[in-house]
Amino acid sequence: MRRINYRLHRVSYLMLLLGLAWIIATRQVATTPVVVAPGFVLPPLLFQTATGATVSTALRGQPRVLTLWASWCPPCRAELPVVAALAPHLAAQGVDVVLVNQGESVADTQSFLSDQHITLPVWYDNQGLLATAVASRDLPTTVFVDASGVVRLVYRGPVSAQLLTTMADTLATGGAP
Amino acid sequence: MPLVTLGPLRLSSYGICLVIAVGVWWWWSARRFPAGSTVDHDSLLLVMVVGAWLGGRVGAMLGSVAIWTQLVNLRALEFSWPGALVGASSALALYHWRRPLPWALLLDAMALPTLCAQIIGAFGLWLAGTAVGVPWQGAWAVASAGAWRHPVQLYAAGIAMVAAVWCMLAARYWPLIPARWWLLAGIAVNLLISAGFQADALTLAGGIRVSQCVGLGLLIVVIERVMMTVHPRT
Repeated sequence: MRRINYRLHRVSYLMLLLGLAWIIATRQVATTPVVVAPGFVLPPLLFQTATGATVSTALRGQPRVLTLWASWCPPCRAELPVVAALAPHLAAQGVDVVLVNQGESVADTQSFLSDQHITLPVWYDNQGLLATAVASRDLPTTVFVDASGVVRLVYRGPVSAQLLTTMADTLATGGAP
Repeated sequence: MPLVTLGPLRLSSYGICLVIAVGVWWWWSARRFPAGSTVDHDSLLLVMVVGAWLGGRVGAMLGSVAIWTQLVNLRALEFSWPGALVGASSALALYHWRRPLPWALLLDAMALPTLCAQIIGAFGLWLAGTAVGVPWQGAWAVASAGAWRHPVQLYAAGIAMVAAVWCMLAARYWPLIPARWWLLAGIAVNLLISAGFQADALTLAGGIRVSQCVGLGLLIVVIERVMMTVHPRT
């Protein structure tokens, strides 16, 4: 077998070095779960529903999972079927699941969800209120709120079925995560 | 939001810019094809447009299995430029396999129109407000999807513009180097630089973006080709 003996030009080595440094410097930082200190009460944020009604996060009495997402975000699209599949199980435990769409129109969102056969309730957050309130810059972000409005966990990145189930149990029983 | 609604057809600024980009690319490429060529320009360009569309859609879908059902949804916004370039190149290769073409000359002819189409398309995506850059609070950040972000599509348009100007200057000052290599260099730099500001990109272990690795590899290939043309080894 003929041995290939090829040496790159110096400028290629330099570019390779600079390119690798650039790729490493701009790599996507892995998302990690962030536990918010107990006692942090989600402030009353106002969102719109698809029908134009206003809803508030100030409502108490039922634990809630708020999934912050956008249809252009691939990890969100990967996460939504997982959340939708587990929503009935969570509802049976008394935990509400709400999709909070960040910055998209009602028509585009409904068209996307209809294509995906997802029928979960959607709140529209056009000002990034939820992201600001829980100090998250990532999509998706999942916020677990207990019946008294206290944020129990903020999870950055696509949430797993296991975490959803565990947190639903925690919220339903009123325990700490 | 759609700018134009014609029955079931809704065209956003991005859709309109995409149509303009394809039109400009088609018209300008046909004008630049080598004189006296026996190539059926229109059928070749049509095959490449179909290849670019399929490649662009498949490229956009790679990030998520959940959206594969939207692959043939004409109204969906997602479109990947790298995917479109791979799709168009594959279509050209397939066409060449069926009917041999002077493909190198054709690629040289299509270099400038392709960069121009990329500028128009990327600008249209920015106009549509679907900038998917990483969150950032700097001077030229744009508000998109509830956060201030890098205007990554503007970066892509800017780099394509610089590559187009370089391509024109190089034709005058370095005529030995074919335009196709400058086109590939423009694509490579775009993948390497602008993809570094893109949110939710397809990644390898450690958050390394796939598109940037492809861009760097392509750039090294282009540099080697250019260097070998300028300083041939004996």
